[in-house]
Amino acid sequence: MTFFVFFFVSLTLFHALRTTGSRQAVLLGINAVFIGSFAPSLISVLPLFGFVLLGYGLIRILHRHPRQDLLFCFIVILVLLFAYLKRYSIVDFLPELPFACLSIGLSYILFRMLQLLLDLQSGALTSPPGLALYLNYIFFFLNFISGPIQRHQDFLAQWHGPGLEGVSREEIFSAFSRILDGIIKVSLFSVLLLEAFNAYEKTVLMKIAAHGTERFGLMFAHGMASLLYLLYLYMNFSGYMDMVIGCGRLFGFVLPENFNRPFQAENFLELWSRWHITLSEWFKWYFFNPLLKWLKYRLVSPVIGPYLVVLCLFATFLLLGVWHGTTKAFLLFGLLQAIGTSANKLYQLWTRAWLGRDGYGRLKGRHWYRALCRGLMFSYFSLSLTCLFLDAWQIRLLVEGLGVEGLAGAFFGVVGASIMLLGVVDVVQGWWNRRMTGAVPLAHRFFVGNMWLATKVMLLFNALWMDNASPVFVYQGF
Amino acid sequence: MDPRRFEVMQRLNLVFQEVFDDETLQICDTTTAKDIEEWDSLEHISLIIATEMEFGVRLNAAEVGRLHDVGAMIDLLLERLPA
Repeated sequence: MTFFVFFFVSLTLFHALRTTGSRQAVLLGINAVFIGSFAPSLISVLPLFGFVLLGYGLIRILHRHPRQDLLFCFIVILVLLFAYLKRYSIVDFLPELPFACLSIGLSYILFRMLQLLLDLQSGALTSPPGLALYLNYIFFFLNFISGPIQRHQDFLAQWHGPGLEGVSREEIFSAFSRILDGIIKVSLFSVLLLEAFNAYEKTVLMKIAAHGTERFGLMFAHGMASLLYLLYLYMNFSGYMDMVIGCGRLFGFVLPENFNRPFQAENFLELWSRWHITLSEWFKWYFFNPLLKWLKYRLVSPVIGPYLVVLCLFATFLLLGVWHGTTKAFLLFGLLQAIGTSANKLYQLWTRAWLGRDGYGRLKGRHWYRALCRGLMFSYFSLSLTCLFLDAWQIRLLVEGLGVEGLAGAFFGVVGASIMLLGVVDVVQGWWNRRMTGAVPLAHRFFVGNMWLATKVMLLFNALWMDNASPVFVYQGF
Repeated sequence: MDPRRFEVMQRLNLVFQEVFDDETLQICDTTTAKDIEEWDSLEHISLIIATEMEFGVRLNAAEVGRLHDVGAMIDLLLERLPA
């Protein structure tokens, strides 16, 4: 509630001004108040602010001296400082700062600074931004905590656009509707899913702590916990995105989408192009593409060529997974994403070679095959999320408790559950689409649309009635 | 069609055939990723690299980002190739 009061005051102030300069100044103030609300003391903000200013200095230097070696040094400096401020275990030997340091949003800040450096060097950005615009870009309160990661060029372009004056009535209505969707997802659905998840997680922890032999119970509890955690993560994160994208639209900004119906994905590679899109796009642009290019120019071979993609996928998703956290469990998470994506690509290459283009195309068109692929993808991804809710020691106990048979049982159990769950979602979605298409009389569409709106209002009241403390955004911690 | 544009398109067509392993593939200005099933974001970079090698040019990230269809690729190559 506090956030929305802050938001509407900020929105009024922002739109009360007309010039770009005054709007930039007021946005700086809004961002400062927002970030300050997370700081336990003034001094705790200084390292973060110093880090951002250092980044700006390095960007200006690189603009004057566009050299590859300088770029490399600057990236190393920023990544090491980031690792120190985030207290990654590789810098454990260094003394800690004598005061608590604000590290919220630091990962996203690093992405934005690296993007500016890399784009300047590649020529995608012709000149660095002014300091005020840079600070607004880095600290923009709507995507400061958990993204989406917006490219500087896209952020900059919006200052020269029509702003809110160019937003239609329908878009404003749609923005409010989106914010409402987000509140319901975060405050109601994700809270309910979290409660259900907590119950199964507790069972898993009790069973692995007891070193019991009841493998089936552990397998079932783990499968359910993983599945519920995935749904909770989706509701929480996509709900948060709905809110910030809707809020951004009211400011006149267009923030990039982070989700595109991820559970419609038919393989693991496609999942990552629909889930946390701005993160995977960032890694594609600034890590995968340059690495693949670098390797392809050095290893020119028609035999090795396709497998370089597999290698680059492995490296990219390992890094992407490790980005999520500083512990061994996150390293394992990265490893599982790396294995999933590279195995998926290998499978595609081999199956296409084995069945031929047409044969593979026919196979992909079969309903049973698509349902199976979606089930496998869903199950693998949800089980890999275990690394986000158990630590390395607990994962080890879990694997020992389950054994190979238990792990396989949990995996295929979730595959079966996913196929059924996704099948139901498809049926409901198909019904909804049919209700809302042009062939259906307008009165029916009007009725269904209003029913849906009434349902949302009812759900909102439910969320308010539940008396929850402010819900936590999961990705805030990454 | 301008003979220079035609020549670039023919060479680019060979690149497409090789990257997507399809000798029957025929591109035109309006061909996009939607028309070629295998042309996903991963194959896009392979296509760019093969194009760079064929035409002896280097494209930066901003240029690559603008290449949404074959026509845009040909326009860019015509800009970058010596007349």
